[in-house]
Amino acid sequence: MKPLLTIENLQTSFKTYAGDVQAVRDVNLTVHEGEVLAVVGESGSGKSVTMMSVMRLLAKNAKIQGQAFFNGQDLLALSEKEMRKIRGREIAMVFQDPMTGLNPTLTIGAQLREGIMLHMGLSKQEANKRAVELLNKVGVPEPERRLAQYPHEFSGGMRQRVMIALGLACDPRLIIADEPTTALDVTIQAQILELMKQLKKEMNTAIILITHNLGVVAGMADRVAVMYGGRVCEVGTVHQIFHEPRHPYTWALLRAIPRLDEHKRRLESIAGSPPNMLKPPGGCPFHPRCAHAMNVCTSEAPEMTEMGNQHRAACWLMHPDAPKVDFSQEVTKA
Amino acid sequence: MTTQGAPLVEVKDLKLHFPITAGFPIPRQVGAVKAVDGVSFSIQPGETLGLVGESGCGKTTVGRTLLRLYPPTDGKVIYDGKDLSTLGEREFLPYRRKMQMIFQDPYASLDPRMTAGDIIGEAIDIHGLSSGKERMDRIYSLLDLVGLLPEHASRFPHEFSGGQRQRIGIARALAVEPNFIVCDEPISALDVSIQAQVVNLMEDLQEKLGIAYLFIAHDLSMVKHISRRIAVMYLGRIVEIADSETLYSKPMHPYTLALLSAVPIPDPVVEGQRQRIILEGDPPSPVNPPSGCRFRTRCPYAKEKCKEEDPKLIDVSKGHGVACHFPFGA
Amino acid sequence: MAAPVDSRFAPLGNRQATAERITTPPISFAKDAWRRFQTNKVAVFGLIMLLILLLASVFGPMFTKHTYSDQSILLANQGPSGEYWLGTDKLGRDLFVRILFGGRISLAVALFAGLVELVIGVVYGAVAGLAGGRIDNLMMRIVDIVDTIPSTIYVILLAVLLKPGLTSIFLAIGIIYWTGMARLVRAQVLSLKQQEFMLAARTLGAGKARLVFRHLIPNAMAPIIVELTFSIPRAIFTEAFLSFIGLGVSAPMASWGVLANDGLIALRTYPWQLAFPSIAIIMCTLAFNFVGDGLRDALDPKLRK
Repeated sequence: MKPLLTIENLQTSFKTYAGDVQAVRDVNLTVHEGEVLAVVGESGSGKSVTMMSVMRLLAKNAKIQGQAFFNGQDLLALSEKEMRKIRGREIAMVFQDPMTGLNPTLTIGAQLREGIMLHMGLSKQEANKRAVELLNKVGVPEPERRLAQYPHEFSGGMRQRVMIALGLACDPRLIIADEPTTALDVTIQAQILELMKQLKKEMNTAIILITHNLGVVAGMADRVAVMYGGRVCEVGTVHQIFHEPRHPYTWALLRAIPRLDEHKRRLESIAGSPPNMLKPPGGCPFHPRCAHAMNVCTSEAPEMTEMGNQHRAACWLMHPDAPKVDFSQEVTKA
Repeated sequence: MTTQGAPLVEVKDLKLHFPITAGFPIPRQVGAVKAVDGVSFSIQPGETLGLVGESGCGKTTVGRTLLRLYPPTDGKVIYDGKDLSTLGEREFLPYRRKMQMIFQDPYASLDPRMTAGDIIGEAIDIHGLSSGKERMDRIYSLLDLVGLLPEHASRFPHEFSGGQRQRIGIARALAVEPNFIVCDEPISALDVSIQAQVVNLMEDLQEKLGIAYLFIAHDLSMVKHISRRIAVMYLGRIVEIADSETLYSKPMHPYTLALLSAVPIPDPVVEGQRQRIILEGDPPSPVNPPSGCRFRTRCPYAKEKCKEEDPKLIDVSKGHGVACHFPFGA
Repeated sequence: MAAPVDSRFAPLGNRQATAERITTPPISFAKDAWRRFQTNKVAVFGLIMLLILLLASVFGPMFTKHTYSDQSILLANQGPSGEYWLGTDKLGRDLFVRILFGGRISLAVALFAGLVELVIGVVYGAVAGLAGGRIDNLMMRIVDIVDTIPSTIYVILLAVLLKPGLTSIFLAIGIIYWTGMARLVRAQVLSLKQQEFMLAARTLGAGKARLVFRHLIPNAMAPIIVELTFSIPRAIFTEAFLSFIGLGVSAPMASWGVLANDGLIALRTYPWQLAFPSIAIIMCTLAFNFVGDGLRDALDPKLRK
C-alpha cells in the first residue's frame, strides 16, 4: 500500500504563561491509502494535537517543528493559502462534538454547499444536488427537506452524520476523525461506525481515527498507533497490538479495560496519573507508572525498535541488555 | 446466587414527572417530561445493582430521586423496611447518613473553594460525628482509605487529577458511614487507565465495609464487570432485569439484544465476526412516549399487540424480569 | 552465559508511594488570582493610584498647613503656587486640602455603597435565587419596581423631607444601589444551584444556611467583587452629581461634586477651580475601573490554566 501521509519528527509545544506545554514530542507516523489508522491514547497523549498540527489548525501560540508529507508536499511548509486548498478537499476533519462542530446559525444545506462550491467550483444547483446525494449516502432521511434545517433541529446521531457528510463532500483522500463517537450513545455509535466502514469501502478513503476506546479500535482499525505523553509507544497492525503487544503501556491498557465477553476478573489499574505536559517526566514518559521501569528509562527516551512486519515499539525492554520479559505472561487472554 | 433475605433498598413504582408549564399571565401545567415512569427494583445489602441505558432513559433521575434530590411524583422508596416517602425533610436527615451519592463530573462535584480536608470534613460536621483532633484523624484515615496522602487534605480540587478528585468524592460519601451509595456515572469522565483504579477501589471498599451500590452508567462492559445484577432502562422504564451473566448470555428483551450487540469488544478477531443489530432512528421523546410498548418504534420485531398494550415487567425465571410481549427464549 | 550487568537496565522496583504526590507547590485561589492580577500592568497601576488616593484623602489633611475651612479672603482665586499647591477658591480656601478632604467624603460614600450592596444586595439575591419559583418571582418584581423609579426622584424627595446633606445621600444610595448586585447574585445562584457540588452538599444533608454561606456565596465571590469595583465609581459619581446640583453636603464641607459646582461658576476666569476636582473624580473612577477589569480577568476560572 502506498503511503498517503507521512509524519516525521513532529514536535509541537504551546507557549503559556505557566511555561511551555510540550504536547507532542518527536512523533513519526504513516498512513497508507485506503487504510484505517487508529491513534489511541489518553489525556495528555498528544493524539489530537498531532493531527491538529498537521492540519495547521492550532492557535498562534503553538510552535510546530518537523515534516508532514502528503502527496509529495510538506504540509508544515505550505502557506496558509495553499493549506486552505488542501483542507476540506484532500484532507477532511470530523470532530468530536456534534453540538459545536456545526455552525448553529447556518442551515445544513448552506454548510454543505460552502465546501462543495469552494473546492469543486460547482454552481449552487449542482452543489445542492451533491449535498442531497451526500445526505443520502450518510443515511439522513428526507434529505431535500433537511437541507433547509438548522443544526439544532437534528439529534446528536444525525448531526454526526451531517459532519461526516461535510467531511466527504469533496471526496477527500484522507479523513481525520477526532473521537467521532465519544459523545454518542452506544447504539448510535454502532450506527455511525457501521456507516464509516461502509463509506470507506465504497470510496477508498483513508481514515485516521483518534480515540481512547479500544473496543472501537478493534472493530474499525487496520493499524494502530498507541501514544503516551506526547510520544508514540507502539505501532502495528490491529492484530499485533491486541494479540502481541510489546510495550508496557499497551499491556497495562489492555488489562485495565473490562470486556463484555469475559468472566469476571480483577481489572489491573495503572498507578499514578497521566503526565503533566508542562514538566513531562525525563526519559520515557511512561516510566513513573511502569512496572518494568529501569534506570535508563528515567534519563533517556527509547528509540523505536523494529520487530519485523512493520511492528515497532519504543521501549528499553527491547534492548539486548535489558532483562528478559515473558511476553505471554503480559498478554492475558480473556 | 443472590442471598435471599430482606432487601436493603426497595423501590416500588417510582415516578418522576417534570412539569411543563406554559401560558400567560399565570403559567399552567400543559404536559410533563416523564423522566421516570414506574420503576421498581430491590438491592440486597452489600450487593451492586447496575442500571444501564442511553441518554434520556431516566437512569440518573432514578438515582437522584432515590436520595430526594428531586421529590418523587409517585411511588415508594423503602430502606431497611421503612417507607421513606412519608418522611419530612428533618426526619429524612438521618437517612442521609445511610444513603450517599458519588457524582459523575470530578471537576464539578467538588466545591472549588474548599480544600479536600474541608470537603470531607463537611460531611462529618453536618451530622456532628466528631470534632477537634478526632475529626482530623478521621479525615486522614478516610484519605488513606481511598489511596491518598494526609498532605492532600490542605490542597484544593484544581490541584488534583480527575481520578484523585473522584476518590475525594468517594471519601466524602464514606465519611458518614453509609450502607448504600448511588454511583451516578462515577467513571465516565475519567481516562481509561484511571477508571480501573477507581472501580477497584470501589470493589475493595464494598468488600471491606459491606456497602451496597446502585451503579448507574452507560458503559455496559464496566457495568457488567462490577454489578451482580443489571437493570436495563429505556424511556423511563425498566425493560429487563437479571444477573449480569444471565443478561449477557440469555438476553430476552430486543432492546437488551441491540444494546449488547452495539458494545464494542477490544478484540479484533471477535469484532470481525460479529453480527450487529443496528437500531434505526433515535429514541422518542419522554414527553410523549409511544402508545403501548415504548420500544416498538425501533423494535425490529414489533407486532400489533405491541402498539396496543403496554407490557409489564414480569418475572420470567428466577430473578430474571422482562417487559416484553414476545421476549426471546421465553 | 553471563551477560555483563549494565546498571542502566537495573529495574527501579516499586514506586507506589510517590505516584500520588502532587509536585506543584500548594496554591490557593487567592494567591493564583493575585499572581494573575499582577501580570496586568494597567490594573496594578490602577491599584497604586487607588492606594495613593486613599492614603492622601485619609491622612493628607492632617499634615497640610491649612485646613479645609481656613479662609483668607485677600488670597482668593489665586492660581497654583508654592503656598497653595492647587490654588485657592473664591473664599481663599486651599483647594488642595479641600480636594483631599473631598476625597474622604467620596470614599465614605464609596464604602457605604459597597456595604449596602454586600449586605442587602447579596443576601437578597441569594435568597431569591435559592428559593426559586413564586418567591423568586415576587422578589424580582420588587427589584424591578425599585429600579424603575429614577434615582433623582428619591434624592429630591429625601432632600425635601430631610435636610440636604450626607445623610440624605447615604439614604438615597442605600435605597437604589443594592438592586444591581441582587440581580447579579441571583443569576449566579441560579446557575450554581444545579452544579454537582451543590447536589453533593444537599445529599450530605446540608441545610439552607450552610448551602448559602459556605457554598454559594464563596463561589459567587468573583463576580461580586468585580461588580463592587465597578459600582463604587458609580456611587462616587452619583454623589458628585447630587452635590453638583445642590443636594449634597453643604459648606464649608466639600465633596468633589461641590467643588466642581463651585468651580463651574468661575469657569471663564479661574478654570483650574473646576479642572482639579474634575481630575480627581476622573482619576478615582479610572483607577476603580482598571482594578475592576484586572480583577475580573484574574478571578475568571476559565482563564486559568
